[in-house]
Amino acid sequence: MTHCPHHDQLHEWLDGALEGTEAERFAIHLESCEACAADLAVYTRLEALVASARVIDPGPALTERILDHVVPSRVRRRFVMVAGWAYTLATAASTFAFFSWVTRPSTPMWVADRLGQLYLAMIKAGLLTLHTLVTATLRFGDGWGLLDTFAGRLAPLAHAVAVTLAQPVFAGTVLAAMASTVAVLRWMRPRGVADARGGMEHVDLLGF
Amino acid sequence: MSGVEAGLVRRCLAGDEKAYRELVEMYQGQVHSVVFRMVRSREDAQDLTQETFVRMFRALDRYDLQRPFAAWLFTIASRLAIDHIRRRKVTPISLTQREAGSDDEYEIEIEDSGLKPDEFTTRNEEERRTESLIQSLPPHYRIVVILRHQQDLSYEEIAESLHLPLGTVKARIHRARELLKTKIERMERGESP
Repeated sequence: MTHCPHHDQLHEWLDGALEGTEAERFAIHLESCEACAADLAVYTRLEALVASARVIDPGPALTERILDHVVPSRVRRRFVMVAGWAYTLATAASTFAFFSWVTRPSTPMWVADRLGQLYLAMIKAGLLTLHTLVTATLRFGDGWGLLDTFAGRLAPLAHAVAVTLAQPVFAGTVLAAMASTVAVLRWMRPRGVADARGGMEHVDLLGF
Repeated sequence: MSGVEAGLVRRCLAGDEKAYRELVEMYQGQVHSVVFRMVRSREDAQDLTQETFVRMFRALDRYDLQRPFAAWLFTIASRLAIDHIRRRKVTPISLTQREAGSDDEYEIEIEDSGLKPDEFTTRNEEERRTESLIQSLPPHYRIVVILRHQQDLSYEEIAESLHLPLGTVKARIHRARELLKTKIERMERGESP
């Protein structure tokens, strides 16, 4: 079949882009042009074919799966379940580790030693507090000297805190706790448009 | 947006969890159909459908109710599908080729579509032929044809969804029609599309 020079207008006709006299003129052309009429029949049939393609719906299984990820109460439940399992496992592991350590032969001696040190430290802290209060009372009339006294008395305590923080295990624990807190707060923050759509911004449609 | 969709969106924003289900059930099949016809893998299509809804619900509070809801949803779905196609690894299948007039052999790589035999099982011959026709189109033509003729999006909505100029969308629809016409004529002559 020969190619009609008005073939391009056929697409505009199908798109509904021809109006008024143009549309009327092309309708008349369609009645007389065998090539365009045949193409129109094929395109119309193709569009009907494509439009008739069935909807492929995987059904309730996918619905439930999607809802698990979007319905707020289900998302919370899932988070609580994951957190609960993690907590249970962590508790079991730490209990096991604790009892393994407690049942070692050297542990009672180590515990007694540490307890002795603890009692000593408590007595020292009590004496320090008592001494500070007495000194402060005696120097009550010294005005700013009172603050100096407190600062001087608290210096050993500040030093002790600094030494404790310098311990890798203690510092690591504090950092881990801070990181966990930041992560939880971040997870709980309100979501904005930029954040929600951010994941799609990298989609590059060049070439499509 | 229709009154039904606007009502559902408002109920979702108010925290009505039944509305979540209604909205998912209303669009799940259509979104999955578009995505499946693009990526041609059942598992990937389900993952991408899920991700489409997750992103839609996350951004729902910022959604402009004046915009057509379906177009917005298909924007997310088609971008994810196109992104997936671009990222999908090509499974190499070695084939040895020899150039005419040369003793040198070289290997070519063809893309494994990932299709399983049952993935194109359709209810009848007409459906099978329709699927075959749609699948024979290159992805950038396939997506505009699906959005236009299956999801009934306007050219303007497709242009917005795919971030393409309106003229490009029209040109692709026209070109896709020509391609489909050639392919259906071939099929009717008993050749593969």
